[in-house]
Amino acid sequence: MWLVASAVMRDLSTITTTLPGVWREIRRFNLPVKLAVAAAHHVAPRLTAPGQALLVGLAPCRPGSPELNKITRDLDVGFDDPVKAGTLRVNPIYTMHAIDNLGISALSLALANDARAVNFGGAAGQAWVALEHLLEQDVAEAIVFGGDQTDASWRGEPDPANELGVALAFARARGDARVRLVAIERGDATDHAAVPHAAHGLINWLAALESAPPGTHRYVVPAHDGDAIDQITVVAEVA
Amino acid sequence: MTRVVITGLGAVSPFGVGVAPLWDGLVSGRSAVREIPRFVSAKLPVVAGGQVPLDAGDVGRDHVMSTLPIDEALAHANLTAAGCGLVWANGLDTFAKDRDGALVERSAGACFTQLARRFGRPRRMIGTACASATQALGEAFQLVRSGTMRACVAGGATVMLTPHYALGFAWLQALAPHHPGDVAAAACKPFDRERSGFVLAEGGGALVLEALDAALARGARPIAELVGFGASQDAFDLNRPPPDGAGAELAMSRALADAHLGARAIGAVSAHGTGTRAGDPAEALALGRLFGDHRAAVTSIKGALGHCMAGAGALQAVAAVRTLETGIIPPTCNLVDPDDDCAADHVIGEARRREVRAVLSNSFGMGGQNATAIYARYA
Repeated sequence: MWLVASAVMRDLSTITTTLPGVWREIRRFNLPVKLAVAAAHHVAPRLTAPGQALLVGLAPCRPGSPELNKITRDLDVGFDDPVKAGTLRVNPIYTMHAIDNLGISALSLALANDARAVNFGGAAGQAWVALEHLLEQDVAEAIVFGGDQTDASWRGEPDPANELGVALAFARARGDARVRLVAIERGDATDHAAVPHAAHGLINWLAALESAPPGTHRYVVPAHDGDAIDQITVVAEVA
Repeated sequence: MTRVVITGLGAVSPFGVGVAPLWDGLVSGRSAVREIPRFVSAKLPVVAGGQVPLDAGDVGRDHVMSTLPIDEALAHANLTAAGCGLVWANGLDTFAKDRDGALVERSAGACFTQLARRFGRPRRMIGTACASATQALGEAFQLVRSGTMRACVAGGATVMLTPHYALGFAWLQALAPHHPGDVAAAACKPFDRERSGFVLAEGGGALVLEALDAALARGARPIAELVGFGASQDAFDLNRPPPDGAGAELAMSRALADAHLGARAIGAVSAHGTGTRAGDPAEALALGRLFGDHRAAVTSIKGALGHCMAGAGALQAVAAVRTLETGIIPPTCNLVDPDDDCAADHVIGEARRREVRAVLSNSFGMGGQNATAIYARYA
């Protein structure tokens, strides 16, 4: 499959004006889903028939949100309070923040795409599974997309304020594409210190491809971008 | 193309740990749904839930809920995890109470990685909401059929029976609300005129899928066969299916085409049938168009168990395989008076005996992901 387009979204500040229809569609989602769907909207026009493309979503590895976390903790206190219990309410938007597949739902809706789709869960390394999946499928075109919400301060983890969404469009027909995905190779890893994310690993691979000379490009996935079990290598041909 | 057989089954459900209590409970027509004390004390608008009778604590319950059916299925198949791939649905992150009463976020992804370490390749986590387990089974089916792997454990489990999710889904108007005098066990009424929503439940199911030649070569006994898989997207609305069930019909017709079967080959349908006002008639309409005048017996396990979300499709698969083995189709618990817009050949009141050669099993996820698998008698 040829990599015909890619997009990385780092913020949504311009979306409200440049893609108001997309914004209306995604505004209720949590940040990684918003970023992922926005990125997918940037690459979809590069496909011949996005309404029939295979959509491969990546669930955010931290599917909740700071808002969901806060309200969950508030609710938990309220459940035990005989005065508050029975009066508690929760905005359905926050419940939707927990649901892992709504990015693919929003994209299918926007593209009027009723084809078979799959969403891989929020475990470490599932981005590489998405690329493996592409290579296994007999499809003409596909979009892989996902987003990361690195703000996990509610878990006591640092907040690097580095939210990202990424989308990659692939096609059997080359067009003017420079990179062809060839294989995902796996061996036993010695370093198991993976950090779960949907987008960061793919963005690092794209960055490595930018400076790659023509020929076979073997990208050894760094352990922190891997699945905590395998040593993963992405094999591509660069024209 | 390689035939894909099922050589192992495992389950954990509100009826208990194991396939046997699940099957006995479903066939009896009883409901395992109960009042959840935590929901009552928190004065939630819903009180019913399908809770697994298992003292596993809160933290780590997700891992236990997956490990129990996986290990049962592996033992049944007489295989080790290292000799199998894993395609699994863990559901959503949850919040659990630790021993000190503190609220701890449990990452479904981290749980998957923990489970996957003892398995061979590939190891894939599926996350398509309530369609997850059927999609996991379908993806595993295709990997075995294509020769990518010889054996795989597939299915899913969920532990979403928490007051936070109960309140959240109640406000999404998806759950059956509680009214004074209501009986919790009768809260979920799939396809019934009085249906008012689904009931959250926990549990999971696992199946061992194997290439037929690999299974026979090691002397394993195929229990049934997975013969077709289809998936689709509604592309209609984030919160509700199209009223005509078009997306569901597409998934079902793709599964039939994949299996090279006509609708008349289907003897029974394990419906998604969650008991919602919008979802049940959409599914019934889709089934009606698909089957025409052919009478396939329709049953839903969710009246008896509640909705095990990411694990639901795997429990349906286990029940479908037992139907193929025994010729018994469990009734849809709590279905008394089918609604006019839910017309089908429903199994009502008591289990039905019928020789069934193929069962079609539906799972439809919130957001519009649809997945259908077809299980057939091994011959």
